[in-house]
Amino acid sequence: MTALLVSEVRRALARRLVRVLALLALAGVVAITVGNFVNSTKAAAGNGLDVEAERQARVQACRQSSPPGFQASCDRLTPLASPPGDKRFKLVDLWLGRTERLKRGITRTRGYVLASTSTLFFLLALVVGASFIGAEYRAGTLTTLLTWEPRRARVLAAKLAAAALAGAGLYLLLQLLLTALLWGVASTRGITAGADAAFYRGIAGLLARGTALASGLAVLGACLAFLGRTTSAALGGVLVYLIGVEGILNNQAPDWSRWFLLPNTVAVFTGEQLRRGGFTRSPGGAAALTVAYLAALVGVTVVVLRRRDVT
Amino acid sequence: MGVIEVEGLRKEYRRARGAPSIALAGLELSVPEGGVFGFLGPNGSGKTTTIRCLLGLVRPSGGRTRVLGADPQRDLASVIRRVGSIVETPALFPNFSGRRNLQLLGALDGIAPRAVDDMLGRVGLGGRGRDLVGTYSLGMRQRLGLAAALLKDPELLILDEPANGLDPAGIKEIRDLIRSLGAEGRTVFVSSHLLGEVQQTCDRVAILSQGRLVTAGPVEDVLAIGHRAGLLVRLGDLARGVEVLRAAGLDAALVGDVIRVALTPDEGARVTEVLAREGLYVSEVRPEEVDLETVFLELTGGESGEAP
Repeated sequence: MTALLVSEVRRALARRLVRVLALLALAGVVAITVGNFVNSTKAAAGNGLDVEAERQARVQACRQSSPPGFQASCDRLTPLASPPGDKRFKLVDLWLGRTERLKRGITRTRGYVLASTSTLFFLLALVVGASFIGAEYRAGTLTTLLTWEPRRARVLAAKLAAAALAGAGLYLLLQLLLTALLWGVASTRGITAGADAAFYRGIAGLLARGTALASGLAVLGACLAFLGRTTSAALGGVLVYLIGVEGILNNQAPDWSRWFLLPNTVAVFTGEQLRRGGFTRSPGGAAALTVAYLAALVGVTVVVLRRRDVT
Repeated sequence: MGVIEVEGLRKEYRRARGAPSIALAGLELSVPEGGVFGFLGPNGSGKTTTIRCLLGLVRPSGGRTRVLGADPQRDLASVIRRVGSIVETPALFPNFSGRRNLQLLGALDGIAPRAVDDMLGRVGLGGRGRDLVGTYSLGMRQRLGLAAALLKDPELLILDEPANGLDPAGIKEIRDLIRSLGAEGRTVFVSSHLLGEVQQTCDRVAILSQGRLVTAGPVEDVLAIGHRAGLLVRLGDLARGVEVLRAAGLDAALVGDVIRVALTPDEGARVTEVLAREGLYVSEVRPEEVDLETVFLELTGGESGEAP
């Protein structure tokens, strides 16, 4: 099984599409870094501590006014104060978001860098998983492999594990690289204030949850490609589901949305509770539901693959 | 018991519309251990479907198969290390070199990289092993597939059209290789439409038509089934020879540069006697040889082999 898994991981990572997408993502990471480096001027240097002090004051006020059980959320308050003209990159923008008021009634949300890039890297993981299996069907290589390892469940397990590792690995490496590069920008030309131990713990949790979701999305893409036998069927299936099922039903039957994949994965990723009307679900509950959905899909894929003729 | 046993094998493919397509309609087959076994049939007769059933790639609709005593649908994994195979044109990863493809496959069975290099040399790809498979010709891919099949040092080889895409020199090389593999005591089960090759290479053959077995046995026995038309006679004046033979009540006809007489091989003396009486002396009398192609066309009706 180990040899099969190693072989599948090598195949997954050696694919041209994976390399092209990884290079594009890498170029995006570099572009974000360069953009922030260039925009992070030293025009109003020396205000970093003031920003953090202002945030701390609001955190204290929030804690004092919040009922018991809700005080923890105050720690997530983000710096609001930013001196006019200060364009320095703030390390807390990596994860914590903040809203800037540009003019009366016009605001701009900044921050959430890792959350924004996560969306793209999740897509990358989905495509990597789907194309890994889609390419197998297109090239007919599954036939060759099954003449060496006829136990289809094992082959499926190895391929899904390889897809998960590839998707998760790419996500984590790209996000760690981005974090490291932007930390360098903040350290040299920006503001690191507010980046305390809790902040870094938050980043670590975010990346851990993001990595798990990326692996799940790669498995989702791979399973759908197994079922549809093409990459486009897998990606089209996801698109149709998100728009056609969750998008429409979200309006038609809002009560059902608590069971939808998208809001639950968002809850997992952000670590926030899922709230739908009076209903709430913890991030752990959302994670359990997401895993259950994925397990059901893997189960269906195993059954179909074991019964299907390979021609 | 043979290394391959097939009893009443049926395979139907469902269609979105209309009746299902029947690929195999109760095939019976037994392949004994050792030697080269040819599996012949027109296009669509069910050869590849049979091979896919034997390798567990396709689920039969009915019947029973055994490969080295194992049921391919249940416990093929227990014998797969002893079985090497090619199914149609071998599909390997185009972005990997031939060597790396084989190394990845070999790693599944713990085969050392050195064995890969040896095998590439054996199939004539020693100098191209490091090139990407995507740059290989069809013939080179076929050789690489054969190398993959041989990599496990299998006792049973199941080869689906192994000479497909090869040039004449390549076909001869593969023929010699298959012969040598059979001579080593392995069982080589090879499907082909190159009947001349099969006749030169195989010890036994089975002929398939419309998803059923038409005949099977040693090549000589199968050739004997063919309609032996008679004797071929060569002499100086062919036209007069035909007249004389016909006047003697024999069924004679001019075929190219010989006269074909409808007599059995042991009646050659009668021909020479009739002709000699009229002053015609033969330079050659030989029985008409029946080749596998003739038998094949007679048995299959020369038609497409799709099952009804």
